[in-house]
Amino acid sequence: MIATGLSLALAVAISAAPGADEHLLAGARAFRDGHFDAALVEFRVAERLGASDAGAYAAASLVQLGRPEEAVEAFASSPPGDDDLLDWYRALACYEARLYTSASRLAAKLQLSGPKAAAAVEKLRADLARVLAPEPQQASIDWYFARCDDLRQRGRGALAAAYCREAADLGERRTDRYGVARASAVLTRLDPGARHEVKP
Amino acid sequence: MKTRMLRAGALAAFMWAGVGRADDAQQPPATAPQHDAAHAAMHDAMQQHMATPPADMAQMPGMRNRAAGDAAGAQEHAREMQQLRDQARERAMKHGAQDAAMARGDDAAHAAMHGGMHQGAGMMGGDSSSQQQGAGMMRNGDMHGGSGGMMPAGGGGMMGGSQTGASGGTTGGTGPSTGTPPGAPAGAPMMK
Repeated sequence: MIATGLSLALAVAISAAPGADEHLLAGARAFRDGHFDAALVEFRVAERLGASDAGAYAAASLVQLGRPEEAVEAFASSPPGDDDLLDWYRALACYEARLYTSASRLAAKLQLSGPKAAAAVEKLRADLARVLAPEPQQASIDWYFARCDDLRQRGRGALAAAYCREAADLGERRTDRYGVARASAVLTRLDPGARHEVKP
Repeated sequence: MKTRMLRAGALAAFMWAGVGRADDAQQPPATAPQHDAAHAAMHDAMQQHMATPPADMAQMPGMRNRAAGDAAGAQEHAREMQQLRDQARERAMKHGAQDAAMARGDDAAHAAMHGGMHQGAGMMGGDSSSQQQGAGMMRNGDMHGGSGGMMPAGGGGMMGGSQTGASGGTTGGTGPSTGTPPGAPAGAPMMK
C-alpha cells in the first residue's frame, strides 16, 4: 500500500517535469542554423516527451537530410491540411520518394505566401504535371508494387501502403486500370481502411 | 517505527508532488508562450530553408529512357575500367614477384643485375636496403614504380640517362649477361 503510494507519487512528480517545449525550441534553433541532424534528435525527444507536433517537424528535418522515405513515414502520424508550410515539406518528401500523385494532390492545395514560396510551389506543380502527363506504363506501376512488397516484408507498413496507393493511383490513370484491383487487395491486407485515411 | 517512517515518507512525497503540480498549474502562462515560441521559430526556420526541388528531377521509375541508359552505361564503363585496373595491378604484382625472385638469385647472370639494382636502388633510398624497397613497391602493385624500380641499372636507364643512372648502368647493370646495350633503357627488354 505504502510502496504503491510512493511509486505513484514519484511517477506524478516525474511526469510533471517540463522539457518537451525546450526540446522543441532547441530543435527549431538547430533547424534554423542548418543543423538538421541535431534538429531531428531534438524533435524526436520532444515527440517522446509528448509534443504532438514534433513528429511533423522531425519529418521536415528528414526532408532536409535527404531521407524522403523516412519523412513520408514520419508525416503519416499527422494529417495534412493544418499547416501549409508543413504540407510543402510533406509534398517535397512525397516528390523525392517518387510518390508523384500524392505530391501532386498536396501541391494542388498549397497556398504559400511570398514570391519565393509561390515560385517554388509553381515549379513543383509544373514538374509534377510533366512527369504525370503521359499515361503511366505498366513497368512503372510494377516498380511501385515491387517497392511496396519489399517495404512490407521489412515491416514498414505505412510506407509500403504509400507505394501501393501510388500504384493504384497510377493505374487509375490508365484506360485498363492496370494494378488497381491488386493494389486495393494489398492495401486492405496492409491496413484496412487506410486507403482513405492516410491518403493526402 | 518503520511503518510510521514509511507513512511520513509517503506523505512527504505526496506533498512534494502536490506542490510541484500546484507550481505547474500557475505556470501555463509561462509554458504556453514557450510552446508558441518554439512553433514560431520552427515556422521561420522552415521558411528560411524552403528549397525548390532540383530541376527535372522527377522521373517515373521503371521506364527505359535516355538518362537511365546513360547512367547504366556509365556504371558499366566504370565497372570495366575497374576490372582493367585490377588486372593491371595483378600483372604488375606478378612481374614484381618475378623480378624480386631474380634479384635474389645468386648465379653469375644475375650478379650484374644485383649491381645494377644497388645502383638503381641508391637513387631511391641510398642504402643497401633499397633493394627490398624496390621489391616492396612492386608488391604494393605500383605498376610504374614497381617495374622501373627493379630494372637493372633501372633508375638510370628509365630516367633517360641521368648521371646517376648512367654510372649505375656502367658499373653493374649493363654486363654482358643482361645483354642491354649501353644507353638504351636497361629495363626495356623486361617491360611486359
